[in-house]
Amino acid sequence: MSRILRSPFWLWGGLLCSALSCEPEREVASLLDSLRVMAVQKDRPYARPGDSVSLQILWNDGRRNNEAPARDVQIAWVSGCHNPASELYALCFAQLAMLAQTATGADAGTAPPSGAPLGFPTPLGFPKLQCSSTSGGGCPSLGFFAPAPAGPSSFDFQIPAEIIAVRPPPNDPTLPPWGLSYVFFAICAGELELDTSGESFPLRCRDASSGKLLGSDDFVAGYSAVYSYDEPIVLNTNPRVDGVEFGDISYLPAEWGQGTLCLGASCVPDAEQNAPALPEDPCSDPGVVCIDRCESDDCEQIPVLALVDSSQAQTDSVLAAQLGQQLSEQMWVNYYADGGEFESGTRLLSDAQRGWNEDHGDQFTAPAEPGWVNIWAISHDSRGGTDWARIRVYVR
Amino acid sequence: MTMDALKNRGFLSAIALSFALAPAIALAQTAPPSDASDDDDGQRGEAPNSSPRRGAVPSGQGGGILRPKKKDVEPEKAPLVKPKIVHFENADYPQAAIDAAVSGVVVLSLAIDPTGAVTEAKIHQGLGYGLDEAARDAALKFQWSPATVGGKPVPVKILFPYRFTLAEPEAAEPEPPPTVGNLIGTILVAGAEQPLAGAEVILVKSGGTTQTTLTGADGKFVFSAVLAGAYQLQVQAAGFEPVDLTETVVAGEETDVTYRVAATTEELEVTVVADRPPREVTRRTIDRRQMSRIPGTSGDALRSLQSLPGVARPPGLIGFLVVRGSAPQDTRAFISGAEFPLVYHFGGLSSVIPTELLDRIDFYPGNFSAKYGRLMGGIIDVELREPDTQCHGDFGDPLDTYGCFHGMAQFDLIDMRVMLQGPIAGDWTFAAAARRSWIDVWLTPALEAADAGVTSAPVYHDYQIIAETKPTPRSRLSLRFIASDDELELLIKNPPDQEPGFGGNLRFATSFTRAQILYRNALSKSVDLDTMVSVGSDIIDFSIASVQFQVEAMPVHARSEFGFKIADGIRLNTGLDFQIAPYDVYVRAPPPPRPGEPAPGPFTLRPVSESHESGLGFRPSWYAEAEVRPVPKWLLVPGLRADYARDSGQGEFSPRLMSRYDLFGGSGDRGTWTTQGGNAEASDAGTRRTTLKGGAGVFRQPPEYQETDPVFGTPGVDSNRSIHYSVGVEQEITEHLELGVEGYYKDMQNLVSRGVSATGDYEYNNEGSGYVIGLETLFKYKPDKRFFGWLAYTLSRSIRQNGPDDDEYLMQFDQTHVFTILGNYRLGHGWEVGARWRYVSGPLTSPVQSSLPALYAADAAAYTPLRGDPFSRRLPNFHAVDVRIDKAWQYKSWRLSAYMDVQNAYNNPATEQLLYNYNFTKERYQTGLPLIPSFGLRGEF
Repeated sequence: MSRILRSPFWLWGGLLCSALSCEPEREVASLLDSLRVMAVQKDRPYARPGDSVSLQILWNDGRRNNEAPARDVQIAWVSGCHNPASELYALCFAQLAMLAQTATGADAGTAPPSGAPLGFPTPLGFPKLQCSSTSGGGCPSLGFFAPAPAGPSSFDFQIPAEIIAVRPPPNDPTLPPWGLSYVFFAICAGELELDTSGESFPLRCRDASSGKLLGSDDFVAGYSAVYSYDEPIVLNTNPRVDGVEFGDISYLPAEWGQGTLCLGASCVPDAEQNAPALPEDPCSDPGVVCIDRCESDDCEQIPVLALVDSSQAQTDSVLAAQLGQQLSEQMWVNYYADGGEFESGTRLLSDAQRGWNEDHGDQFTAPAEPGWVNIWAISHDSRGGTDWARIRVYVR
Repeated sequence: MTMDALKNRGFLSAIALSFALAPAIALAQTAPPSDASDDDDGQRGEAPNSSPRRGAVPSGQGGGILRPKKKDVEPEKAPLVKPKIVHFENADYPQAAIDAAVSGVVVLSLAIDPTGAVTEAKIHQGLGYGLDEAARDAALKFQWSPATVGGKPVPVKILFPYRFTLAEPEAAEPEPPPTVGNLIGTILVAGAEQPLAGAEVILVKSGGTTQTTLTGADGKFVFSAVLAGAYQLQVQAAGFEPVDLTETVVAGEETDVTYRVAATTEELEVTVVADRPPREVTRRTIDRRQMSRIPGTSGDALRSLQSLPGVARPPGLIGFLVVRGSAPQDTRAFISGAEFPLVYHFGGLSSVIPTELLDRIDFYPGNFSAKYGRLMGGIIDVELREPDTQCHGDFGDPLDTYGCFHGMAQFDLIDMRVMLQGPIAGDWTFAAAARRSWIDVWLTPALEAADAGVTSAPVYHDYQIIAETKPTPRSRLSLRFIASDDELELLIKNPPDQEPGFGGNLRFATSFTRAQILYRNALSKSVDLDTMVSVGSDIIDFSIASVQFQVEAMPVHARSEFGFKIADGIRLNTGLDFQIAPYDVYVRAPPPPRPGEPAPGPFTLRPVSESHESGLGFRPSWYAEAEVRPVPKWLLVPGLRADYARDSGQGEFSPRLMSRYDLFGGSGDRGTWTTQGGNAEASDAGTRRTTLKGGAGVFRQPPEYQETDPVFGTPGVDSNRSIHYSVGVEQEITEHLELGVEGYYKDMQNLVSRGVSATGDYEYNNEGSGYVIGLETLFKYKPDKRFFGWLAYTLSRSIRQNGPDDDEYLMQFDQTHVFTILGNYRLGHGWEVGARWRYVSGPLTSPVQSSLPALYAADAAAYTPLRGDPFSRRLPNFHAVDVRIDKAWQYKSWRLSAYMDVQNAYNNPATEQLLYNYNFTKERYQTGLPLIPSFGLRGEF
C-alpha cells in the first residue's frame, strides 16, 4: 500500500512548474497570428441518444492583415466514430481513413444525405463527411463541389439511438452509462486532401499554387467529443458570455453594435460576412474605443474581463449522480487577440472544489502597429461547454 | 624548537599515554575558539567506528562487527588475546601546538596485523596543530605482540589514545635541607627495553604529600633535592601495569632506579575484524562521513545515493530512485528492514530522515538477499544510529566515560533541524530530532507572484525519537518513532495552455508515521535473533480540479530472522517477513495512459472514474538462506523466498543464488570473514584481495494498486518477474584503493503492461517484457584521515516491450552513461573541500510527429500531441560540477560549523524535458536548476 504514496510524485513537479509558469520562454498562445481554431461550440454539450447535435467552429486567420482580402479556407467535418475502444480518439483514425477514401472521387456535391451509407458501415449508423470553403465552393479534391448549406463553419450530425445500449457498462458501477461520439474537423488555407495511411489524421493540407504541404500555421486539425447520457442526468449547457469589460468600459449587447461587439454564433466568420462595415475614422466614432499603440516595454496594461455570471458554473451532474458530491464544473476563460498580447491568456473561472473565481480577468497590452484589433473572451467548462464574445478596439 | 629548548624555557613537554592518569591541563574558560581538528568530521564524537555506550555493537545484518570493550562481550571466535605493546615510539611535540598551548588526546585507530606491526594508523579523534600527524607517525612505529584467537594471530583494530600534555612550569622547590639527595630513574617498556615517555611518576612523601613528574622522551625522570628517607614511588601510564615500590633516598647521593612496566590493553577498545558472511553480491555502504560531505547534496544522506554506480540521475525536482534500469517503483527504502513509503520530501529537496540520525546506508542495486522481496529493482536499507552519550572533555576531547548529553541545531536555506541525545535512566539512552522546512518562506512569494493563491504554504516536517538499551551484553533493544509530513495547497489561477483543466485548487499532502521495535540478540555463539516490528500510518491527499486521490493505510511490517551456525562453514538464516495493511483508498480520476498507448487527449477532460475501496492487505513471506563455505575462500549463498499476496491471490517462490570467491588474499588467507562490496574494514596482511563474485535470482513484484483495481485496472493481473544475473570482480589495489567491476543482466518477463483486449478495450495484462544490461565500475579511495572519493561509471541499456508483437523501446529513465567522480579533502584547521562532477546521458522523450504534431482538442481549447515512437529521442547530455566547502570552529564546550554547497557550479543547467509551444510546432528545452548556492550553519555540543 505504501507504494501508492509515490504514485503522484511525478505530477507534483509538473504541477508546481505549471503554477510557476517555469517554462523559460512561454510562447503566447493568445496571439492569433496564424490560422487558428479557438473553440467548437455544440448546441448540446451533453446530448441524449438520438439527438441531433449542431457544431460551430470559431476560427480566425491571423495571417490576414486589415487591408488584404481574406484567404479562401476549406473546412471539413467528419462524424461517425462512436465509442472507440478505451475512448481513444486516435483509434478512429483508421475508420476516418476508410471513410474519406470511400468519399474520394464521389460527386458528393453536398454532404451525403442522412442515412446514406458511404461504404463504411458501423454498428451504430452511418458516418457523415462535409467539406466546403469560405469562398462559397466545396473541396474538389475530396469530392465536394458545392458549399455546405449552413456554411462551412457549421455541422450537424445525429447521435445514434443505441449509442449507450450497445456499449458495455462502465467498470465503475457508480458511473451512469454514457456514449461517446467523436467529431473531427480540419481547416485549411489551401486544399484538403487525403492521407490514407490510417496511422494518423487522414487529411492534410496542400498549397494549390506551390504544391507544398502546409503546416500548422495554415492547417488545423482537431476533434470534439460529444458525450451522451440517458435521462435523468441533467444536460450540460454552454457557459454563456454576456460581454467583455475592457478597461473601465463594459461591452454589453444593449450598448454596443455588432461591429464592435459580437456574441456566440454571430462571431463565427460565416456570419461575419454580413456584419456592418467598419468606420473609416474610428477614433471619431463614439461607437469605437481607441487606445494608444505600444512602442515601449512599459506600456499600460489594460484589464480585460469576460463577463460571465457565476450562475453559469453548474454542478457537475455526472459527478453528483456518481458521488453524491456537489462539485462544480471546472471552468476557465481563454483570451485571444489578433494584435497585442495578454499577460496570461488563460484564467480560472471556477474551481471544482473552491467554486467561482472573481479574479478571472487578464491584462492586455496594445500592439505597436496601429489598426483594428479583435479581442475574444471564450469561456469553457470541463464538460465540453463553451461560449464566446468578441470586441473590436482601434489602436491609433 | 627542540624538546631541550622547551625544557630550558621552563616548560615540560611530555607525551603521555594515559587516559586515566593524566588529567587535561585546564584551559581558560574564555579561551578563544580554535580551528577544528583536521580529522574532525563534523560529527563530534561520532567517528565512523564510534563506540557504543558500552559493549558490543552488532552492526546490522550481514555486517557483524564485534567490538568487545573491556569485559562486556566475548568475541565470536573467543577467546581473544588482546595485543600488547612491546615497542613504544615517542612523538615530537609540534611547535605550532606548543605555541598555541594545545594539549589533549589524539585517539588513533590502529590496525595491527598478525605479526604485531601497525599497518594502518587513522586519526579517530584529532587535535590539529600537527599533533595528529605526530601521533600517527609515531604509532606506525609501534610494535605489538599480536592478538590471537584460539592461539592463532589475527589482525585487529584498536583505539589508542595518544596524549599530548604541556606541563605547567614547576614551582621552585624550597631550599634543600642539609641532608638531601636526588632520586632519578628510567622507565622502560618491559620486554622491549624501550624508554617510556610521558609516564606519570609520583613520589609519595611523608604525611601523604606527593610530588609528580612525567618521564621525558628518554624515559627518564628526576626528583631533585629530596629529603633523605624512604619513599613510595608510583609509576602510572595508560596501557601499562602500574608500579608501586619503595625507594630510599640517601643524603648527598643520587639514587638511580630503572623500572620496567608491562603493557596491558585493559583500557583499550579492541575491534576484532570478524565480519559475518555477505549475503548479497554487491552491497554499497556509505558511512556517516561520506554521506554528510558529498557535494551537491547539501549534506543529505539519501541524496548521496545518486552518486553510486547503478543509480540514474533522476529528473529535476522529482525524488526518484532509478536503479539499474528499473522503474522508480521497483526500488524501495527500508529502515532496519521496515519499509517506509517515501525517501524524499517533495521535490526531492531533502530525505525524510535527517543525516544526523543515520548510522549508515546499505544500498543493494540488485541480486539482493532473500531477506528482501516483493520488488525487482534495488534496496536501500538505512540503519539508524545508536544514541551517542560518550562524554567529552574540553575542546571535544573524548573521554572514557558515558552518560553525557549532546545537542545539535542546524539551519540552511531549505530547512532547520534540532537533535538532542543522551541518557535517560538505567541503561536507556535516547535521541530525538525534529526538522521543519523553510521553503515556504521563499516559495510562497514566488507562487504569489505567479498569481497562485497560496492556501497552505509548501512545508514539510519530520520527527524522530529513538530510545535504546542493551538488556544484555549480547542484545540490543531499540524503540523508534518516525514521522514525516508534507503539505501544499494553492489556487492556480493561470491554468497551463496545454492542460487548461488542470488549474484551480491544487492540494498535495503526504504523511507517514512509523513506530518500530528492533530487538537483536546473539542468543548463543551459534544462534542469532533479529526481530523487528513496525506499525504506522500512511496518508496521502492529492486533488486538483475534479481529480482526487486519497489513501489512508496502517501498515504493519514484522520481521524475525534466526541465524544458526550448523557446522563450521555452514550457517542458515531463516525468517518471516509479514506485511499487513488495513487501507482505505479513494480515487477519482481518468484512467492513466501507459507508454505506447495512443494519446488520450487532455487529461482532465477525460471522463473520470471513481474507486473507493477498503480492505486488508496481507502479504506474508518466508525465506531461508544458507551461507556455505565449501572451502575457506569460497562463499556460496543459496536462498529461497516464498511470497503470498492476498490482494492478488497469488503465491510464488523466488530462488536465489550468490557466490563469492577470494582468488587472492581475502578470508582464506586471513582466516576471518571478509566484508563485501568494497567496504572491507580490514586490510589484508599481505596479498591484496581479489574476489570474483556472481549471482542469479528470481525477483517478483506484485502489480501496482491501480493495475488490479476493478475500476482502474484489471483484476487478476499477475506479478512482474525479473531474473537478475550478475558477475563481477573486486580488487584491492592499495590499502585504500579498491576497484570493483560488475556486469549485470536483468531478464524481465510477465511485466504488467497494457494492450487491446478481446473486447477491443485497453486493459492491463502480463504481456510486457524487457531486459536491462549494464556494466558498473567503482574505483574507490576509502576514507583516510584526509581524503575520500570515488569514480563511478555505469554503462547500461534498458529495454521494454508492451507485447510480443509490439516494438521494443527504451525505458523512460534509460541512461546509457552515468559517470561520477567525487572527492573530499580535509585541508586542516577545520577546512574541508569537496567536489563532484557528473556526466549523464540525457533524458528520453517521445517526440511529436513531424507531419502533424498535434490535434486541436476543441473541448479543452488545447492541442493534444500526436506522439511518435515512445522515448525515441534523447535530449542533450548532462554534466555539472558541485562544490562543497566546510569550516568548523571548535570551542571549549561546543562546536560551530558552516558549509557552502554550490550545485551546478559552472552553471550548466540540465536539460530535463522538451517544452512545446501551444500547438507543438516549436520546441525548446526545459532546463533544470541553475547555479544554486546553499549555505548552512550548525552548532553542536
